[in-house]
Amino acid sequence: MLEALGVSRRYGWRWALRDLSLSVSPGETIALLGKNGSGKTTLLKTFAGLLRPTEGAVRVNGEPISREAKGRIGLLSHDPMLYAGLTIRENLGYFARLFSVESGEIPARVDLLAETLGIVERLDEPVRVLSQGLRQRAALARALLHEPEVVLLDEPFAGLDPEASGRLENVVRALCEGRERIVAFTTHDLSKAFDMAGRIVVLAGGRLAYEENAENSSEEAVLAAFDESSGGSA
Amino acid sequence: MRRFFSVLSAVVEKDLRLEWRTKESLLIMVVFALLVLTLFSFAFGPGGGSGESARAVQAGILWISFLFACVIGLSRTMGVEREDAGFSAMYASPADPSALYLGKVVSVVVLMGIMELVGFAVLAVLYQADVWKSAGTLALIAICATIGIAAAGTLFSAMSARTRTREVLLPVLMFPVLVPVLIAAVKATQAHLGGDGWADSRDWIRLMLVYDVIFLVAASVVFEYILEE
Amino acid sequence: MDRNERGAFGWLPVLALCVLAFAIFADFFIAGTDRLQGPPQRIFYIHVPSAWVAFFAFFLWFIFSIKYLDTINPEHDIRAHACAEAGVVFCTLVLITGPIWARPVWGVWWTWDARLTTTLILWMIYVGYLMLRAYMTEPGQRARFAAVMGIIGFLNVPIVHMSVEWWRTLHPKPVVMRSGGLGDLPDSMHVALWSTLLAFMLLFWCFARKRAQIERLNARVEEARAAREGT
Repeated sequence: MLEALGVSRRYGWRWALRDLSLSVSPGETIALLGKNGSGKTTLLKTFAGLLRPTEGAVRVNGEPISREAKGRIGLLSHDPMLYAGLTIRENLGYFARLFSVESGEIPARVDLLAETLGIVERLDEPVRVLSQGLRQRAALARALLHEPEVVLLDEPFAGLDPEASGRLENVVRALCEGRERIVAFTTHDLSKAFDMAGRIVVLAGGRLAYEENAENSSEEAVLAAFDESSGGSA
Repeated sequence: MRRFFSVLSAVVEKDLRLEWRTKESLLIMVVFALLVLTLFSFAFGPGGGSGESARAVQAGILWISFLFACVIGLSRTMGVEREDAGFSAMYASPADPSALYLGKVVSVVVLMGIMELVGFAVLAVLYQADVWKSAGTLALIAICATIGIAAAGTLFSAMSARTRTREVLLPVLMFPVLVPVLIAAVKATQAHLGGDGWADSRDWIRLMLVYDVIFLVAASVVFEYILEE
Repeated sequence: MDRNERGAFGWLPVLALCVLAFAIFADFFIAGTDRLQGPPQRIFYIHVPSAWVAFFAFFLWFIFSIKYLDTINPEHDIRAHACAEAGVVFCTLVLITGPIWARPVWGVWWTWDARLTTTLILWMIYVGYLMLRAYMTEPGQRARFAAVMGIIGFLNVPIVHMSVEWWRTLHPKPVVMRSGGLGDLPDSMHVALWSTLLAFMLLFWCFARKRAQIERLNARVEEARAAREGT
């Protein structure tokens, strides 16, 4: 269970999130939609424990985010968070130890992930020389290394060619099928959101503008929520 | 505890591997230290020998050049963390921030240690300084001082790397705090370049040990707040 | 709330100025002239209290920094900042009056005296802290980094003092330097010393309060501007 309870977050002097409450149960996949600057990324980072809410609280399984809890969360951020000077394998080895994956298990997990993501041949190339698509896949491997219960993906399909995008999509789809897993992803692609997510959430001006199951929702309703005014200033 | 050391060694391994691949920081640190050593010789005249005042100048030149070179090295390794979002990645992980901090300190100590070996050798050549007579104690002095410099440097460079001015702020934050280490390192080195007894530098080494312990503990505790975005 | 604040402490600057006026009078007319040093000794009544206030501010800065990291309440950050900025004023006063006093009495402007040197390092740490703040834009991160700086800087000062003192003992001390215990001061000098200290404490309080008020207003202005740009 992943919950945001009345979360506000100030970034600089701007409120990036305003009194936002949202809860996601295990097995659920949600798509976060909204214009640029609507607070999608801030919300994901807050869920990941990377940002502390200015007000309100974020809870994982009923408990506030602790250091231990971060071990159950995997974040694919906008930034790949990989060392450009190291190879994918070295990067993954480093992060596996940070996430306290048993050292005996690391090679097997790296190989398995590399295979699913189609980066086996590139494992020993430095991240610096990789294309955007490969970097994104390597970054996803980093986020999934410790088999997180909560997977947070920030625009996983942005700027990818169809091949890379398709492969990533399959992996994310497989993740969503996990019965106990929570997946939350942000995207600008409405059709992908409807296709993959069980629930559509729209943010506007840092507030929750729209929340509906994918089956009962329509593109028109979502688009209307995009432009919803952020309400009176607080 | 096992996890703590696993994280610590992962950081050291990652840093040294990155460094080994490019050797960028190390190279620039060594060259810069040599440059400062040479420039000081021009400024103070070729002060060779082992007279009281000559030794004072040599020890001072040596540690000032190490300190300056260290600023450059630190800016490099923390610059990499900033550019590759290493801080966020660390903070998003369940790893103990103290282990991450101490890992960084260890890799800085290793880099500085290599640079200092070259520095001492050059000092011996340029100034006919007798670095061999009490090499063991000199090494002890260098280790204590280096840990202090690395402890403060790692903390402050993690901060300054993320300010608007980037690395420019680092010396302004770091040097005042390092005054005790600089005084102690210079005084102890000065005593030993002349081959004086252990008694002359014992108190200075003690002072550096106290500094190292206080700083490592305090910085380990607060490093968590530095990692946060 | 701001209006209440001003109302409740409106008398503070007035009181501070009255005490300061008395203190200046005491420094020049109540306290007798020192037999050894003559009139230059009177700067002692400015020099020593400002040093005490500067170190007191430093201590408050440390406390508010810890409180900030403990609570993440921006109010403590504002207070730590205000204490540091007001403290640097008195720290500067110490560094200016020190050499002015030393010149006629010891014959040199600067003697690397341990206490004065420690104050110089303290001043540099204060300035580094203010620069760190000036070069950061994200308020949350700035507050955290600044608080870390406050804690580390405070822990560092005793070690600095110790090292500078040891460093000095290896050099010949200026002959004129003598330990000036407070015990042998005549009563009139005590009046001057303590009234000046009280005046400086009140002044420090005024400065810090005012600075914190300005910072709170600044935050509100920035917030309002961001809100307007956001919509």
